[in-house]
Amino acid sequence: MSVLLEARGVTKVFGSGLFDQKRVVALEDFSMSISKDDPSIVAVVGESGSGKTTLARILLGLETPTAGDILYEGVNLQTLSRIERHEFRRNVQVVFQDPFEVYNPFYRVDHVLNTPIVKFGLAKSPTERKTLIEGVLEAVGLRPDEILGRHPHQLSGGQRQRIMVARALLLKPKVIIADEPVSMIDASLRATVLANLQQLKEDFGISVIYITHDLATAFQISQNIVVMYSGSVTEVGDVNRVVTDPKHPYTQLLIGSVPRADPNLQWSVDNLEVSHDIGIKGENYCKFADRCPHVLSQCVEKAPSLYQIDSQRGAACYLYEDSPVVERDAMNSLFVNQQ
Amino acid sequence: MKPIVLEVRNLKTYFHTPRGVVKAVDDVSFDLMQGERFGLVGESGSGKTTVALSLLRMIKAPGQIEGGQLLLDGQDILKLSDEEMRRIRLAGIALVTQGAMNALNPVIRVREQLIDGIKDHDGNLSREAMEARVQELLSGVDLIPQVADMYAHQLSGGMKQRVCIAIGICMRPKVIIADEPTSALDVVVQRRVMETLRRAQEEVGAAVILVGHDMGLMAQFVDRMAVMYAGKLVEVSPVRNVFQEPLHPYTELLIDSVPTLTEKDVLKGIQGSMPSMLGLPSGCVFNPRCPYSDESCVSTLQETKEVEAGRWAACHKIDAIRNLNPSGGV
Ligand SMILES: Nc1ncnc2c1ncn2[C@@H]1O[C@H](COP(=O)(O)OP(=O)(O)OP(=O)(O)O)[C@@H](O)[C@H]1O
Ligand SMILES: Nc1ncnc2c1ncn2[C@@H]1O[C@H](COP(=O)(O)OP(=O)(O)OP(=O)(O)O)[C@@H](O)[C@H]1O
Ligand SMILES: [Mg+2]
Ligand SMILES: [Mg+2]
Repeated sequence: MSVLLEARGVTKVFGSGLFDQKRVVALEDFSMSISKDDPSIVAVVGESGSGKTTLARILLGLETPTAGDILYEGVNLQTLSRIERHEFRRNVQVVFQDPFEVYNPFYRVDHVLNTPIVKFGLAKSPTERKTLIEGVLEAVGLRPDEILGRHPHQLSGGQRQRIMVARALLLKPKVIIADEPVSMIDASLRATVLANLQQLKEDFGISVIYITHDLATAFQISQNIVVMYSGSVTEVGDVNRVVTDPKHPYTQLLIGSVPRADPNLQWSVDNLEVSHDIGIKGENYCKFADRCPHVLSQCVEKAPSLYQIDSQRGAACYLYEDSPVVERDAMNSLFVNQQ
Repeated sequence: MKPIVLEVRNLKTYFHTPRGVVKAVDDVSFDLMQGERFGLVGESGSGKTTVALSLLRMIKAPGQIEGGQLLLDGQDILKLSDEEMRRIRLAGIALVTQGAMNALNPVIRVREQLIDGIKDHDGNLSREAMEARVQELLSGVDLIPQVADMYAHQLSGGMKQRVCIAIGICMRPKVIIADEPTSALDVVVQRRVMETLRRAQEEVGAAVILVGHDMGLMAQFVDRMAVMYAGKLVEVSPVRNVFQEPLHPYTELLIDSVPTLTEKDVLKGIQGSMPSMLGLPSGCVFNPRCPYSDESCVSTLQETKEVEAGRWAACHKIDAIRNLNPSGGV
């Protein structure tokens, strides 16, 4: 397998400076790779604050890892040549979580779409540019005549999010890192936009890292899933297995907490959610221990390894310690459709 | 039946853009009962946030409330002076938004932000009484007392959202509007925040209008639901009915497009896209995308009618559609 983008043993610590009150390990020993010739959609889900956006920013080179490396086509991001960097910027695109933040309020939305066209020379004439822009806007269900010319605050939340997806589509990159791209969009449009991403994968071989809180859509569009808790991977593998039969107690709590679209199904996970003081010493322990209904004494002494529960799935939990250990940098071996 | 706390009558809010008038809210009417949990869903850009902001008279130019009545306990708040309206915010109608989480002032401790809210309306409390009120508010949203001394950046998203709820309920409002309060939170935290909101709401006896896209959340949280499309309410029904036997074809298709955790489907949204808000189709606004539409849907003026007790819908073909699908659903 030739690798396009790879995270190798990445750790990110925030606030270790002199004046910071709290040190946060946002991401811990994380490894994952995106294949060049075998496009796929990987979902990254997990707790708010578990490090998902940090992972995205590190993969994009917007944040430097405290330890570990990001490699683009085998070359460390920090040592890319100018030409390689230009290519990286085009081929690795992002759709960010908070569309309120990325827009400059003084520019019209046209600017967001024109800039990449100019920067990467995507159009030879103004007519071609117009056709390109209208095409991607329509692909995400927006009307060019209604949207173009407006300022960001004149659009609804969902309209802003879709413009960001349209912008990513414009460049036909090799990877799209999508951080909550549809969190503010209704169910029907969400399906349309995600089906769009899926189509891109089929038609242009674009891989997608889909970061989300929406487990139902993660289940629908991705092949593989990574579940994060407090900077670490708790469960990983084939999305069908992880979602329909979660093994890690955190994944069980997460899946159990999804509100079902049926007023007759109770929204209750009381037996899955506990909170206890388990006397944590040091830094090496399972971060979920104080909320885990199955906590064992060893959980607070040393963080569990990733255990391979079946051919296509692993969980970092002592409940499965009889299973073989998967090295953290071999996490990809648990993915379906990848060697 | 419980008494009505808020009557929205023929509300019209338009944006006057250089390209034409956007009728973001066009002739919307509904009643909100005391203590009721009411959901407002609909396509992105259909006007939900504009309804929410209109109820607080927070619409800014080029937008304007063009007509209608907003009766809070029988009093039309559209007729109030700006000063009277300022009092109504928080004490009468409070707003918790998704952005509110990021709108917490970063350089002021949580305590001061809560006190600001209380002082605005009740400046005469002693320091001790004020502190007691702060602690009561924090514990009411499941936050530990120490949070009062913290700044926004020291709180997680779920904690910040709870602080916003505390600010929202500090004046014991009659109505709390929550516009996508949890769409940035994970489902575990979401569940806790919604439980907090429910408890706080029941305690102060406030009604809640929950605006959002998450049909699962709606199914689990609200009593009744309104569905919006292109500036109009197309259906208002008890939540059970909406999921079991939606009346309006748009509601039906919207529910159909909700993905599940059990079955893998081809993801597909409703075909076509929302009409341009600058040139709405004549007749029913949904007719260009409706699988049941015919000539009559273009020529008949769209009207919202009480189809059966407690259920309203804006579709003149409901009886015909029901005969097509006696079991309900396509
Ligand atoms: N620039 C920063 N400085 C200090 N701490 C940070 C910074 N960025 C992130 N963090 C911390 O790192 C942790 C991970 O944050 P991150 O934004 O990656 O979480 P997330 O999984 O994306 O959460 P959410 O689902 O809420 O978006 C959090 O504890 C956060 O507070
Ligand atoms: N300041 C403004 N100027 C012009 N048009 C506006 C303005 N604010 C909103 N609109 C338009 O009004 C319509 C309704 O917007 P609104 O924000 O109420 O939608 P919404 O239903 O809340 O959507 P979402 O679910 O995406 O948040 C949209 O077509 C939007 O583009
Ligand atoms: Mg994030
Ligand atoms: Mg909105």
